[in-house]
Parts: sequence; C-alpha cells; structure tokens
Amino acid sequence: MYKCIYSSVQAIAQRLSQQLRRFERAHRSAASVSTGIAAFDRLLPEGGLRTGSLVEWLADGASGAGTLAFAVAARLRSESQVAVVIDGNGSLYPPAIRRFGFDPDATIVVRPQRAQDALWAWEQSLRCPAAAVVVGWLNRLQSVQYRRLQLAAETGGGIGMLLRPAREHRQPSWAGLRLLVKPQPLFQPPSQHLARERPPPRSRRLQVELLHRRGLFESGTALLDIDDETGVVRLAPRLVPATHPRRAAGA
Amino acid sequence: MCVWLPGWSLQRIRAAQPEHEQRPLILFSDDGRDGLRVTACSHNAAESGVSPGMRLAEAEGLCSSSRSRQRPRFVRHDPDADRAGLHELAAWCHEFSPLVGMEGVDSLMLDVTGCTHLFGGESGLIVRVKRGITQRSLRAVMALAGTVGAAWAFAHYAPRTSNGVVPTEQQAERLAALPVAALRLPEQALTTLGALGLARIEQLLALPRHSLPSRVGPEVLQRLDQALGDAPELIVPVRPVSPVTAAISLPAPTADYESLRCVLASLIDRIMARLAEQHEGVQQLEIRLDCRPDAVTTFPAGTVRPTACPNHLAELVLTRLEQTVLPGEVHAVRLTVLHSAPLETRQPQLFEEQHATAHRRELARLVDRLSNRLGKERVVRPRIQPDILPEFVRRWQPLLDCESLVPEPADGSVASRPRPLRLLPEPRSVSVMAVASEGPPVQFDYQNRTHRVCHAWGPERLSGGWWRGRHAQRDYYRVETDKGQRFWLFRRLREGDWYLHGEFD
Repeated sequence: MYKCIYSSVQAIAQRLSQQLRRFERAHRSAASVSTGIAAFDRLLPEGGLRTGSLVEWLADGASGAGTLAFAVAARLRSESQVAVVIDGNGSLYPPAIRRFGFDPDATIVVRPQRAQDALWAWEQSLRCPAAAVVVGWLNRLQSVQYRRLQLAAETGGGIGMLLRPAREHRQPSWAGLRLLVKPQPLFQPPSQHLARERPPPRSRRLQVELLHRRGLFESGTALLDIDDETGVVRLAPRLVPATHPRRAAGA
Repeated sequence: MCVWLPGWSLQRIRAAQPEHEQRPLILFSDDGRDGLRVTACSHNAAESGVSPGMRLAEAEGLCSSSRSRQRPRFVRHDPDADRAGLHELAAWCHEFSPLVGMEGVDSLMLDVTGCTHLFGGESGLIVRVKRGITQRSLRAVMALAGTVGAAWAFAHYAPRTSNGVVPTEQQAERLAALPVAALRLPEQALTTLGALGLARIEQLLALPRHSLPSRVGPEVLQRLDQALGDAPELIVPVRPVSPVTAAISLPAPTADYESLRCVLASLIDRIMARLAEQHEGVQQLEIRLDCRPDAVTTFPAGTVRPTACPNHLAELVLTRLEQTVLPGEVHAVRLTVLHSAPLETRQPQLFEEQHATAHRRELARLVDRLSNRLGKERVVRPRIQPDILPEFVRRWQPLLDCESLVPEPADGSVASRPRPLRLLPEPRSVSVMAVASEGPPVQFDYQNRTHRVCHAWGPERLSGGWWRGRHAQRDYYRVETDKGQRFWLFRRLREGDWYLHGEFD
C-alpha cells in the first residue's frame, strides 16, 4: 500500500514540476529583439529587449533619458508596424525625434488630457499588435494599473517604454526591465574651471544603471554617450587610470 | 399626412422575427464610458420594471426575477438599421405620394396634396396606408392635416378616437387643445415652458407674439407658425436610390481587347468614385456591351466582399471578358452596379502599401477607438513645417483626416542644430543671471530650483514672424547645468527677458 501512495506522490510531484517548467519556459519564450545600439545591448542580460514587456526608465526631467528611450524605440519598429507616443501635455517636439530615425508617417502621437484617458490609451496601444513600441511619460501609476499595462503588453507583443520620475524607483514595478538614468555633467562649473580650455564635447553622457530584471538577478551600469548632432549612442570611453611610476628602489 | 410608428426600433425587430412576438424585447447600446444601457423595452419587459436608461445588468436581473414565463430577448440597438428600415418604408410610401420624407427617427411625412382623390378621399387614403402597414405586421398612427407641424402633432398627441383626418377649418382649434410638446420643441424650450406653467398650445397662442422669442427661444415661435401654416415648412424628400451606372459610347467600334480593357478600366474608376462618396464598395456588377449588328452581350462580375479597389475589380471584369465571345464589334459599353454594400473598414489606408494587411486593420481599429474616445484632435501624426519660430514648426495632423497614404514631402533640411525633445507649449518666463547683458546665462531658476549653468552653446538667433503681428527676435542658448540636465533658453532681444522653451530630455 505504501508503494502505491509513494508512486502517486511521485506522480503528483512530477506533474507539478512539469507545470513549473512550462511556466518558466513560457516566461522565457518571448523573443528578444536587439535595440540596434550595441552599447546598450551589452547592458541587457539577453542582449536585447524582450517583446511583450514593459521597460521603465527612471530619471528626472531634462536628463537625457527620453532621448535614449526614443533612440532605442526608433529601431524596434518593423515595416508594417507603427510607434505610438503617448504625450499627455503635448510637449513632444517632432524635429528632435526625426534625428533618431523616427519616421513621422509611422508614428502616432496620442495627446490625452486626463490621467485616466492616458492610462486607457496606454492599454489600448499596448494591446494592439500593430504597435511595435509605445513610448511616453507617466508620472503616477498605481500597482493595479501597472499590472494591467504589463498584461496588455503581453497580449499585444509590443514593448512599452515608460518614462517616469526617478523618485518612483522605490515603488514596486511590474516592468520587465528597470533602468535608472543619471546624466553625467561633462563640464566643470565655471568657478572650478581650469586654465586650459578643452573644446566642448559634442555629446552628452548618461549613466544607465540596470536596476532590476524580471526573473533574473542581474544588475549593471553602463556609461553611454549620445552624439548631439547625429544621435548615435556609444559607450563612453573610459580613461585608464594612470599608473604611478615605480619608485626606483634605493633612489 | 404623418405616419408615426411608435417604438419603431422594437417594431422593426419584432416584424423581422414574428415567431418571438410574445417574448419581452429589450434593446441596449454601449453608452461609451458608462457601459451597456437599455435604450428601449417592450410592454411586457416594462411590466417587470425595466425602463430605458437603466444598466443592462440591472435589467437582466429584473427579468430573471420576474414571474413571466417568457425568456426575454436582448438585442443590440442598431440605429443605422432602424434608419434603413424606415427608408424602405418611405420607398413603399411613394405609392401614395410623390414626396415622402422622414421626420425624426420614427415618423414618415407624406405630402398628399392633390393625391387623395386617387384613393377615394382622405379617409380612403388612410385606410389604404393602414392596410399596407398592417400587412407588414407593423402598427402606426396616422393623421392628415393641412401642415407638416399639425399632422405631426395630431399623430403623436391627438386622442385616438378620431379617424385621423382633420378638416382645415377645425385644425386651429384642435391644435390649440394639444400639449406644447406636440410642437416638436427642443428639451430646453420645453423645460422653460413647463417652468412658466404653459402646458397647452392655446396658452401659448394667448401670449403676445413678439415676446415669445425673447422669453422662451426663437424655435417656439417658428414651430407655432409652422403648425398653424403661417410659416413654410418643407419636407426633405427621401429619394429612391437609383443604381450607379457608367456608360460610354465608343467613337469607333472595336473588338480589340486592349481598347476594351482601357475603356472598362476608366468606367470602373468612374463607378468607384461615385460609390466612394457613400463609403460603399461594389459587390455585383453587370457589364453590357452593345455590339455592331444589333446584338447585346451582358455578363456579370461579382465579389464576395464589397470592394473599393479598382484594380481588383478590373481584373475580375477582364477575366470574365476574356471568357465571353463577342458577336461583333463593340460600339457602346455600360456598367451597372447591381449590388453595393458599405465597406467593412471605412478608414482609408493610413500607411503605405508595403505594410502588411494584417496589421493595417488592427491599426485602423486602434486609431478609431482612440479617436472616438479622446477626440479626433488628440490622435495625431506629427508634422514638421518650415518656420523660423520653433513653436510653429510643430504641427499635428489628426489621423482621421489623413486621406492619402503618400506622406507630404517633408522639409528636406533637418534642423542643423540639436533641438529639445520636449518643447513647452508656451515659453515660460524664468529669472536668469547672466555675466554679460548680451551673453549666455550663468544661473537660472526653474521648478523651484536654482540651476547653475556649466556650459552654454549659442547664441542661435531666430527672428521672424512679423506676419503674425509681432516680430519675434530671440537668441537661443542650449545650456547644460551642474547636474547634467540640458535646457533650451532664449532671450528676447528687445525686452531683454529670458524664457525657458524646452528640455533636452
């Protein structure tokens, strides 16, 4: 009798482990698309962004996070798809995004007035399979609404890029990927300006920190330079620390 | 003469399926944000407590808990089908009058001046119409009077004892006895009249004429005059739809396939243009070729789903043409649309043909949904137009207005200087400290913080716009602060004050 109990327990355990594996596999079966920016891909664990998920960019205003997000989003679109920008205050400036390869004819800009309309627009756009990427600024987002957006992204198969204030990093998130972006000043304040004048660099530097990646415990930081004229994103050159000359023994 | 079909939506559905006559019928529709609400219900449904305006879930609950043995029917309200049904009925009414119009959503107006003697007088006409309506399993109330307004009033509000014919001499006094709602007034006017205590038309007539427009609105006086016959009112006639045709007479008869192909293609284009106005596509087409020795060849061409694509239809027609044997040279060609239907997706193609069809429909649906809820002006495509001042470079084009899939030729020169990702709708005044009065900013206050400027690119002088009334002269600076944030500031040359226009987010 013990044998049959044991075998039934085993059967149950096997079934459960199969289900678990199926669940895990389903989680990983979504395709990964490369962002087209080699420097950025290197930061991501799978070398790309997972489709049907949300990416949260946490940064303060005027920090360059939006520029990077749009640069990434521009390359995620295929021929038959569009990019949707949800811009509540209508502050998006089209000549700026054209630099990154955003085709104005394949971009839909939605300008909802109220917050609940904005969330509804987010959900509808994410759910649509023809929208390859949905980008926009979202200040306040409750957990339930966040979860709905994540489910909508899974249904639609696109990627949602949420640009949020940096202070929201303490809020639990349903995004598959969380990035904290901090601008790195390239210039010294004038009071500490040294005598030698360097030509001003033609790019801006951002520190992108991978805060959280769903399903994996990973983190990482990258320093990226975005060129002002061309919009090309590169890894910032790291200066090798100067080695101290060895003192000659006995000198 | 007015023919009023009370509860037309319910009647139409009942008449279409007479086997469900006894079951309570409830019509619902999607009320946008509020969800599904009942728009109309039949008498037996009303007995269970259902009334228009309540939520569908509530109505379902009431019906299931009521003691009636019949299962209720829930049908979605289709105003387009209602209108189409009324249109059909109006077409039938052409038997009795050359001028038939639709009034509101449930009434027909017939101009029977000079037609009544053909049907045995006015009462004879009413009897004939009633018979026709009853044969269709419908119920209508009819009234014949001297004016449109009076006929409508008697049909809707007169007591049922009369046979519907109102002689001209009694019209005014019988009209006076009716309530003011019989004048087809808007809601607001009715409320005002109710507040003033005016319930009957005779009370309105007793008031001095010149005071009515200012007290209760101009419509009241207009409707009163129309009902009494002092002001004209026209019936907008419903025209029976004539089939769409296109014909051409060839100058030189030919049996050449190529020439016929060109002729057919041009006729198809003409037909498509006519149907495009009604957002319809061709489903069944008849092609008639008049051949030389007095012979006529006709052949049909059809599609499964209505099509608005000329190439597709031309292909089908030419395939059929190849299969027909022409008895002689063709000297006239005529195309008649036998059957057309509204196109499934009304949205014109938004994007270029290379995008896959599968996504196109989804995209059209998304744009429809977003535009319907948020408004046409809020779902837009970004457009860049050449202008000096940045706030006028940006333009939004509503997606529903985008007719052609060919993008407008873009302004070839991308701005050579970097532009901010976010441009404030209005430049915001900031207090700035600058080293030199004409020089770049050193420090400024924005969003309750003081930002120290580490580097400034500029100045970039943008001046122009005198045709807008004010000539703007601005020196723009792109600044990076000590925190690494970048902003776009400008100084107005004449006034010397500073504004923040954008953020390089």
